[in-house]
Amino acid sequence: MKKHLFIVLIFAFALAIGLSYIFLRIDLIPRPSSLERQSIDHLLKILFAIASVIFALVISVFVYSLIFFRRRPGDDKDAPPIKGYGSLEMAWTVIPLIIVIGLGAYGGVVLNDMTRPGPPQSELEIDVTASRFAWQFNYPTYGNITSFELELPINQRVALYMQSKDVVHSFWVQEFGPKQDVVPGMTTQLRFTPTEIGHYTVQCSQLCGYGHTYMTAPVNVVSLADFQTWVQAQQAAPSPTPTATPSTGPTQPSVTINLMAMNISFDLSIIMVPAGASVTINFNNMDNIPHNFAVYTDSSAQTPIFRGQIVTGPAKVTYNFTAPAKPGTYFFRCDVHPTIMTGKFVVQ
Amino acid sequence: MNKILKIFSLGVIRGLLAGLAGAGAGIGITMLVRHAIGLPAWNPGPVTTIGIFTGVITYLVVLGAFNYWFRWAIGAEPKEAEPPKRSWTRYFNLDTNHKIIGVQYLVTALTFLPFAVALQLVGRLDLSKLVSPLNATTYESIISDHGLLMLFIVVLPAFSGLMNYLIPLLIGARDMAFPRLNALSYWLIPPAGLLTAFSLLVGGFDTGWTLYPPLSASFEYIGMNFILIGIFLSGLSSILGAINFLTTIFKMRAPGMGPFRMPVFVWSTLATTALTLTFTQFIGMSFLMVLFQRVLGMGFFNPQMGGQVLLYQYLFWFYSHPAVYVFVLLGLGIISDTIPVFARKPLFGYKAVAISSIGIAAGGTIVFAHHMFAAGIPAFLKIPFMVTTLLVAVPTGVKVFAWVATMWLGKLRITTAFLFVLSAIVTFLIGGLTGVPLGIVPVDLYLHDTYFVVGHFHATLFGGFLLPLMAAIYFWFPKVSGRMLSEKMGKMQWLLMTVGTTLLILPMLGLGIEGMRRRVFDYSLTLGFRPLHIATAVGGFLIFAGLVILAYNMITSARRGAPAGPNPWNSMILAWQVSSPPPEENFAEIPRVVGNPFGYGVEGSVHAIMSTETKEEIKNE
Repeated sequence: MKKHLFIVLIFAFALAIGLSYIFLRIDLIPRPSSLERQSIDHLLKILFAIASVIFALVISVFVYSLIFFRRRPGDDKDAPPIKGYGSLEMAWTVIPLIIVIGLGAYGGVVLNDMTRPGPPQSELEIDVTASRFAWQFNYPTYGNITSFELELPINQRVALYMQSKDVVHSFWVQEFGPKQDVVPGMTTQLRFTPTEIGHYTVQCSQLCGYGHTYMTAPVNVVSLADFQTWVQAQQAAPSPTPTATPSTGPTQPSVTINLMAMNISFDLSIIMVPAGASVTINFNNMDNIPHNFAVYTDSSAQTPIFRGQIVTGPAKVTYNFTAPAKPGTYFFRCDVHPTIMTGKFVVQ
Repeated sequence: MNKILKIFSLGVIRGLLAGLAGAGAGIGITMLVRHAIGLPAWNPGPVTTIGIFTGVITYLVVLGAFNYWFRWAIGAEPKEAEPPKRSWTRYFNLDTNHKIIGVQYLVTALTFLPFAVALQLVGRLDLSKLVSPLNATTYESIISDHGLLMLFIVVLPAFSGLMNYLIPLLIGARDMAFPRLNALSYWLIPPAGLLTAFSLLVGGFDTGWTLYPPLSASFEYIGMNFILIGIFLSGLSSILGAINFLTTIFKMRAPGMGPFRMPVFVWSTLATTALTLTFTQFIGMSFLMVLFQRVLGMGFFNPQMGGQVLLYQYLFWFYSHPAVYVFVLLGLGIISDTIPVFARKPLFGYKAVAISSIGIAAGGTIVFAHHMFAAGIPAFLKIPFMVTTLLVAVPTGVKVFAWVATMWLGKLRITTAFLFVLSAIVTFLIGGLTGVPLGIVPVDLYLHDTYFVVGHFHATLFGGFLLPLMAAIYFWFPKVSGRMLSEKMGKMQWLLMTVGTTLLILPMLGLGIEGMRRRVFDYSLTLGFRPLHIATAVGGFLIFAGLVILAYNMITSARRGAPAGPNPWNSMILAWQVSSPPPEENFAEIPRVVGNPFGYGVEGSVHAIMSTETKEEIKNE
């Protein structure tokens, strides 16, 4: 009896140390890029370490019993009638109780740090509007810039004030950590501080219909200087309207293309036009959500060649613009769904 | 010709055909009335909803579910039931014997189980990107229907079946307290199941099993109406069942069957049915409200009409959190009752294990808001609900520790039933431990709505439902049929299902930690999720293969299996002291209970005295 207990405890102890060492050492969640993610990752490591101690204890006794306490062939007698052991039962009730209350308290402290609103003016306020199936960002402190991309300066705490136009959505950037539902009829808030420059993606994480999977938006975390440049460019840029140059010569070729948007995708992935042609796009938006057609010099979508007006379907609209004179491969997309509705715009 | 006509003598065929006719009549009359008052005759929402209700009522009436009460209401002498014959047709007619109803429940659940699993296998193939992708609506409908079918048409009826069959046998009663109510609550399940399954054919519904409005309220397909009514019927069935079980346990125990002489399964039933009776009406109400918003335009959850979107989520989780304890408590009861038989030792800390069922149930009633940490509930609510959530870990831990301590120093007999119990313990342990991070709010805000939740939920349900159900089938099949299931096939099934469970659950947890959202049908290959999705799909197929073996084993063993005898496992529990299968009224004489049911190894220990001839009291201690 004592020998069994001794062996199994040694084994459990070794397993517990090994497992919790692994969980404390490895980075469980990939790509931490905000202060909030750092707290979450830290907390999760502790939780997994504690869980592995309990797992090791239970599983050691379990496996040991399975190996050493099997019925021997021919032995039909019952085992010793141990009905219980009061202090052991008390221990495995009280110790978990203490652990979970401690974890609860610690979790509460971390939660408060994560969600507490900062002093006025210290946070970058952004209004977020979610609709099926698009995100729209509005910067009230910068003259109400409206964008379909979330541009954020590094190391600046952000406060999102989020509203939904139709059903429940949820704002989540995996690298930033916490998520928050966006509920029709109320404004929900989410705060975080990005700490790494880079490109991320907002993913809707509350099922909102057939387009839920693709309800994403780009997030760019940039340096403060780059952010200022972006703000100025946005303030200077006209709202999305045709920026076509008038046709210049009688010999200019012209081309008409039928483009359809359905189920949050274009029916064409490559559009080919002659250089310098006058292009007419008959755009048919079959979705009952907003789309447009826009051409950029390349997939970073920094320099627009043409940005069509956004239309909410089902609707048809005709866009006219002049293709670049220089042959090459350009980029087109829907500004509302920049991550998934994209294609190549080839000038020959 | 006569043989073909004979099929109509089966209540289930008559009932279903009459149900279809009733639905047609309901639809016809509604369209006539709509036409008469100048509305367009066809409007799928209201017309089909009325059709479904008339169909279900006609089906129940033709089946004879209300015959007794009708006669009683008009003052006629209630017809005496004919002495029942042992015949397979009893299983297809309205019957009030608890053992018949138990088998009906179980067979219904086991019929829908492979269908519900197969639905998800299609989704798994899609996610593993091995076949051409489904379209989004099909994928979301499939996974939503998988969830609802599993929970309301498989888990609840399967456990209702076990409770029905076992409770009277375990407490020494001849039948349930309200046999006619019992029959009614079973016969609500087939229409519920058919409506839930056929919702896919009338357009599906892409809302997830939680059916959150405004999405569920604005979605145009009529599959949604099928679901709402189907699940409502299943809920009604569990409420009626709960009344019955509670009354039976409180009022019909054999003399001497004190609370601490009941098997743990009876304690679990008590806890489960108390939860069911208290909370099921909340999901019934919330589903009806969504239905009314869809069909009648009432703006319960529409902010523009003064409604509240979060109201639904509160109502839904008010039931659906306690419901997950309904889904697992009985499984834990099965585990607790099975280990002592195969370890040949008393259950370690029996009283604590028994009471912990009540503790889990009581704790489970005050944790529901933890599903809404990210939903926009007031911040001050999050911390109390986090603490209550974590507290549920304590009674759950008591159970797990007690199981392992029961195995310690035992003389373990490795049968298939016991193997399934072992897998269930480990799986449930993983489910329990992964529940703690989900209870801690900051971590939950990351893990919420990722595959981690899916993995945790499947771990608890595999450990608390599927694997214990398999153990129960292997343990109780000899009692029900009088024949043993094949152990060889059983062990093969166990191996497939254990490997399958592992492959299913661990990759899901990993996917969640890496940030895979749930309920999406596509993902970028650059994220490295694909190998884990393939592993999950393989796990799903192994589990399905296990179910196929089980079906084959049950069918062949029911005819050719080795005769079981009354007590093949050498168990002390009352049910095993009568013949297999048990007599029509279980006990010729109501037994007298004199000790607890786990006295293995105790000199001269006896649970119950079966016949009056042995008058002398035998001490258990």
